[in-house]
Amino acid sequence: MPIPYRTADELEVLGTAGYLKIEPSGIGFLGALFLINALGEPIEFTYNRIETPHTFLWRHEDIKRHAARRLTASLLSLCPRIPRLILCLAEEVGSDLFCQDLQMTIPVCRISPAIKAVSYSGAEIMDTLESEESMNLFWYPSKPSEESIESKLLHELIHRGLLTEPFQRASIGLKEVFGPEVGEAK
Amino acid sequence: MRVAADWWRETAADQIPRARWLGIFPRPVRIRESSARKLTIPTIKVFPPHNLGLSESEHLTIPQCLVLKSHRNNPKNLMENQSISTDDGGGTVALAGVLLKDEQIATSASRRKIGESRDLEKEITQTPEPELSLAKRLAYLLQPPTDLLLSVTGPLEWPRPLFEYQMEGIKALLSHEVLLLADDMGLGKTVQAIGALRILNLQRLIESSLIIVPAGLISQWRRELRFWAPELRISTIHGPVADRAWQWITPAHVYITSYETFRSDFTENPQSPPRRRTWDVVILDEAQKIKNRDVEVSRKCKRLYRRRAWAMTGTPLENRVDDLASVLEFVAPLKEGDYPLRLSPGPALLERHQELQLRRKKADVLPHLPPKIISQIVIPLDGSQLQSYEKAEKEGIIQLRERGETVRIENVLELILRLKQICNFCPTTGQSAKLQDVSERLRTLESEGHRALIFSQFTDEKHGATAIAAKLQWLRPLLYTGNLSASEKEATIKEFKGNISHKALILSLRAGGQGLNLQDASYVFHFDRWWNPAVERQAEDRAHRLGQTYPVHVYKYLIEGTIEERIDNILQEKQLLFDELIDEVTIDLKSLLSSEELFGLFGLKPPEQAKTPLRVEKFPANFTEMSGIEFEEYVKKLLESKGWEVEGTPPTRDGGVDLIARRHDEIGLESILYMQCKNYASPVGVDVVRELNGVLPRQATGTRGVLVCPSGFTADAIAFAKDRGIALWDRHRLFEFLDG
Repeated sequence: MPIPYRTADELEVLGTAGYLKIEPSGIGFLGALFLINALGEPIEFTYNRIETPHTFLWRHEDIKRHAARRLTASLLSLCPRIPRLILCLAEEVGSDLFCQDLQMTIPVCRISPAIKAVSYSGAEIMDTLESEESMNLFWYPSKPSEESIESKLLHELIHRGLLTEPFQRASIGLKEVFGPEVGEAK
Repeated sequence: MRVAADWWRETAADQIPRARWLGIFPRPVRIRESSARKLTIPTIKVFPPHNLGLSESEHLTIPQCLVLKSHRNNPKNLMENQSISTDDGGGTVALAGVLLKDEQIATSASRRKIGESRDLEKEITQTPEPELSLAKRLAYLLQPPTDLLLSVTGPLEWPRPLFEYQMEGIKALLSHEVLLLADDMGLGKTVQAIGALRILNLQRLIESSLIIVPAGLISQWRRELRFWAPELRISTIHGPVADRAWQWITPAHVYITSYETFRSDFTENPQSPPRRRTWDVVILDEAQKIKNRDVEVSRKCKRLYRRRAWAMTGTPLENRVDDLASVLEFVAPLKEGDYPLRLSPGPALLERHQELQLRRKKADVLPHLPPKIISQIVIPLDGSQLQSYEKAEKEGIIQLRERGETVRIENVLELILRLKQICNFCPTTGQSAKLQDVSERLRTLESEGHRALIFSQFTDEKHGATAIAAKLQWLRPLLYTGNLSASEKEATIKEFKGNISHKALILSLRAGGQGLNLQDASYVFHFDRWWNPAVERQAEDRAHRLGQTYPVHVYKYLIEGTIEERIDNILQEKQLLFDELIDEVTIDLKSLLSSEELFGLFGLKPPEQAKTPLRVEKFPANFTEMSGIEFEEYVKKLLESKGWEVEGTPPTRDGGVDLIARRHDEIGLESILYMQCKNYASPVGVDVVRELNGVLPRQATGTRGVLVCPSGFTADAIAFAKDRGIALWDRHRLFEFLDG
């Protein structure tokens, strides 16, 4: 068993953050729920894919929403740990996924660069993060309070440059699992 | 069937999803599903998940061993009213406990060149190690990238920004299982090693490291580890045997011990603590400690089972080729059952050295480090000190002469030592010209708030560090010598750093010359001189290192007209040689004086049996000191050492040829060199080449004329020789020849 760090207790208290990654692939969509701790260490990687053939016959948004719903539900059902919060990219995940299709008891945050226009639901709570690259955070069902562990975890992640970086690792993981050819969108 | 947990649920999970067919007509999926194939309803296939997680119990029973649990769920359709899909498209991998100590990963990493960083995208396409489990491959690829880990704003929150060259050093250590980190003193080798250990631990690539350091540096390493890698658990192995027994088995990421303790604890019993496991990393600090391959600690270090071996030293080329070979023998992994590497001097060794060494100089990487200003203080002796010196030297020379042919080098060394002591302090009155000068300087410096380090090779209370400390009490000096225990040494350094009322730290060169960080002082005094310029420089760099904000002033004392001045002349010559050779990664520095040089210090010649035999593997410090015949002999031995048969021609009838060298190659062809040796102080001109050309046999296959002159050749000589195929060997060519 790995030797625990001297800071293991602090890490344990902060728990994990789940990065939901959904990206189009040549055959449909790939999805991953990538759990890391406050130090950025990978903890869990849950992945899946769905195929959506002949999508040109169907409205893309519908298929995407449907796919995201199924994919996310399958990832959540399999993920053996409960993360403190879930982070996803607004350009990949629409507001309807967590505002309508799935109900979560943990905070979900969709992230988008402030300079990029994205649609969001009125039910979401918008927050702006002022850093080198200004980011908009869309929270649902609610933004965690400042004193909460979720908020502390998020601050740790931001402070350690881990707000969006793990999405890249999740993408790399998906390519490793399914191969680069599957990962290529049509 | 997917089961929603209590932390999430799917809304209206029982409702049929609807989508707009052809982008316009909303249609329930149920209808499409009922005639899916005909209506080309999108067949959204959700692949059945499976789990590649690790079992905790397996981890507990088989530490360091990855066992896949592999309990796949049966394929199932997560899409309502849809036909079955059997593709294993989904899953989950637990990464938290995966230890990535696969040799495949490490090997691919070790193939990277020094300075080359990890390119994850590239690695994905190049991860052709399908024999590795998916869990391990993912665990490797999903680690935070090295650049992010090295960033100040990255996950590791470095307490201070790392310099660019330090990041490069860490990357080199990360990507090399074996490395000789030979940066200049003061560039932060310790920080680089700790940085690499921290990242490797975080990336789960290692879990046990052993650091062997000189005893006096243990506490410093601990401090640095606490500072730079606060999350790592450290076990320091020291103290009584009973304590050490549990210190070795205490779970820790890093084990630190001294060379002496390691030597004691590494026994012939394979179950002795250091031998019980294969270390993921073994680091030797001040690796010159193992330069002698015959000493016990050197042999034992090389017998450690290790996956990675890093040696750190600021003076890797301190002495002889054998020293380097010994250090490089450690810089290699060793698996259980294998024998330690054995290296011989030669081109392969040099190549290996170049391949494994990462060396940066202060001037190159830290142009903004305050300068080091070296001043030589030459002072005369007077009064009783002068009388004592003259008397001792006179009597010493007489005694040497009286010994006649039985005189030995040791007798000369004894005299030198005695005279050096008198140059420090008069043995009868305690008078000291040096101390007087040091005191005057320190009065001024002390009033300006400066602090100083004073080095002496002697520790005793009559001539050395203790005597100096006794006479500089007004500075509240602290004494740091080899007599102190490790804890006393630590307390002394702590006191000096923390209490600025101590204006001077007086150190013996041996005890305090290595590893200490003493940026608190910006003045360094060499009370007496040392034989080896590298050792002196190392001592000076205790103060002239990272963190120093003031220029460092170094004062080297020299007593006029004494043995010290004569030694200094030799020392300066060696310093030049060191600077000249170190960048070419050439190693054979002359560490010892020849007997001729030693006896010459007193105007004496060594007896026949005490003469230093001419060794061809030794670079001569100065060719001009050789007579023509000696030089000829030198070249002859050099060629013979490379397998040539060499005959000399009679001096008076050589006709322009001094040596004729013959050798047969693998297929029996004979090569003959007709050689003229000119040990001139200035470059040889065209006339000499003409002379040689005139006596060479014409149209003889396999023959060649060679003109040897360490000082080189004039331009017209080179042009003339080139047109006629005559080889010209200068000093550098001789060195190359020696290396090759």
